[in-house]
Amino acid sequence: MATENPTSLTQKVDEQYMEVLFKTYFKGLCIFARQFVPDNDKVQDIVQDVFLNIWEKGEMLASESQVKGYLYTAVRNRCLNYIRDNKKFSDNVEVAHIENSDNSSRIEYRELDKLIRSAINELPEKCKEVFELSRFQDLKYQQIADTLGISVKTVEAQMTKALKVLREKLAGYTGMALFILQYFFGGHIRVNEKSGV
Amino acid sequence: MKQFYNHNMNEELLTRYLLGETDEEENTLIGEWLLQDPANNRQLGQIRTVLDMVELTRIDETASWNNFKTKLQPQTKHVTMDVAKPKSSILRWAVAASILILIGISSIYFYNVSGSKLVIAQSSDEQLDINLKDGSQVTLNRNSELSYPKRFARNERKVFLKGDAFFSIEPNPEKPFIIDAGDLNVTVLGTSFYVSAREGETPQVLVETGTVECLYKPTGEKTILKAGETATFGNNQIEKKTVTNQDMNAFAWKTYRLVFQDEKLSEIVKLVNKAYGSKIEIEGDVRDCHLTVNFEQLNIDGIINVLQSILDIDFSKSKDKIILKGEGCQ
Repeated sequence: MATENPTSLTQKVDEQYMEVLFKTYFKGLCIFARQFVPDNDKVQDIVQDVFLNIWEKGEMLASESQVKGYLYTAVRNRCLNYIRDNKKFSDNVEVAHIENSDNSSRIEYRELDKLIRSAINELPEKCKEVFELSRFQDLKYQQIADTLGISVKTVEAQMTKALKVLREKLAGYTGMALFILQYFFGGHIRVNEKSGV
Repeated sequence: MKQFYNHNMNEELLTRYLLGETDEEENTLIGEWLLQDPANNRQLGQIRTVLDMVELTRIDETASWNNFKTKLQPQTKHVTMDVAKPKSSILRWAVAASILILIGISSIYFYNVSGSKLVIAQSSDEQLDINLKDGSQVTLNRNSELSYPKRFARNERKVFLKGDAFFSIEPNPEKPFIIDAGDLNVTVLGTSFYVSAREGETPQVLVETGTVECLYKPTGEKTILKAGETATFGNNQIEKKTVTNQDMNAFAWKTYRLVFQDEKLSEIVKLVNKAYGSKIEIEGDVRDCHLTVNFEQLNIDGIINVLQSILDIDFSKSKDKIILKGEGCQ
């Protein structure tokens, strides 16, 4: 695929290499970026831009760990730039906090993808069942209730609990400071907007 | 009418809202609640973040790749010099001119030298990538020149270098690749390596992969360099050693990687200028400060940002110069 060497630093980027790089890191980078940018579509655009940039440069660092570090740094920088350019609130305090605090230099580059999946797996059985039907089968509360033979109220309680547990686990992985960062387009959610996913 | 205050808003309702399970009345309530306090937005945002992240875990890498693949334009950095043989002298210059227009950063001339047309590729302010007919690739640094025959001879592939270049040579044991770089001849079978042969500077070769043989013409001495080795050729002698990070700094023009261990700022800036073609100057005592720092895939702005985060310096731009000013080392 590419020539690697203990002393050398870069390898050529061809389509084959690009494919492996993309498939390996795209998902993890998107989830990582979602900590900063509050929109899934925008997140994917930003991460794709990073890969496009690498393609145009035509070369990449040879060492695996350097590549990962480079990708996460590049994504983070683009996200912070994006937030700065799109701020609807007047106080810049939280962005500044992210950029200047020690946390920003120790951003976890662990693959959040796997962490989220295992956190879901660790949910109590009934809770996990409800959550998966909702999030992976796209079922509405009533449909889940009918499928599992339980009440809608129970479905609601289980979903709420699942999200609470996941939120706590993710906050632990990503650092509370980042989780506080929430900015919305237009300053607030419009009332009838079909939000969520 | 129900009214929710911060501590009264319940998570069930917020969750139902984000999952599209709420009715109009509830939507209105939530809308009002959100307007009461930015903290409310943040609370909702946290739940929404979890939902979005879970949704992102559903990304199918193959489908995403197939979609992304369509956005890949052919890489523009590689210039192929394969030009169809012109039928008359007028056509020949027309072809040369159209290449000039396409590239815009280098000049290419076709000469007739002892039967074989010689191509001279020069880079000016930017690097230039050259694809040779045998599949080898050369990256010329700024202000460098590579001359090579349009068609290689039968028993060897010979090119002439002035300046700096990175070579990635296709293996062909029957046709050794020879780089004539002034005082230095570098012969290779199939490898990747750097050659630095600038006027007024000590020629240097650094091997990334494979093996190269170097002939130092003033003394007739030869040396073989293997991957991870580098040699300088000056003062009528060859100095060979294993590549260190410091050595790689000389090739930062290609790698965009600079590594410094307890190095003076003036020295750091000198190497940055060399690698990027920039004109950074330092004023004040800060020039003697010692730093341990790495620059990885940064542009000049990025490097200055890093320096500013370590030292107390002001920077200003004047024409094409960048001036860094500071006194202390903290």
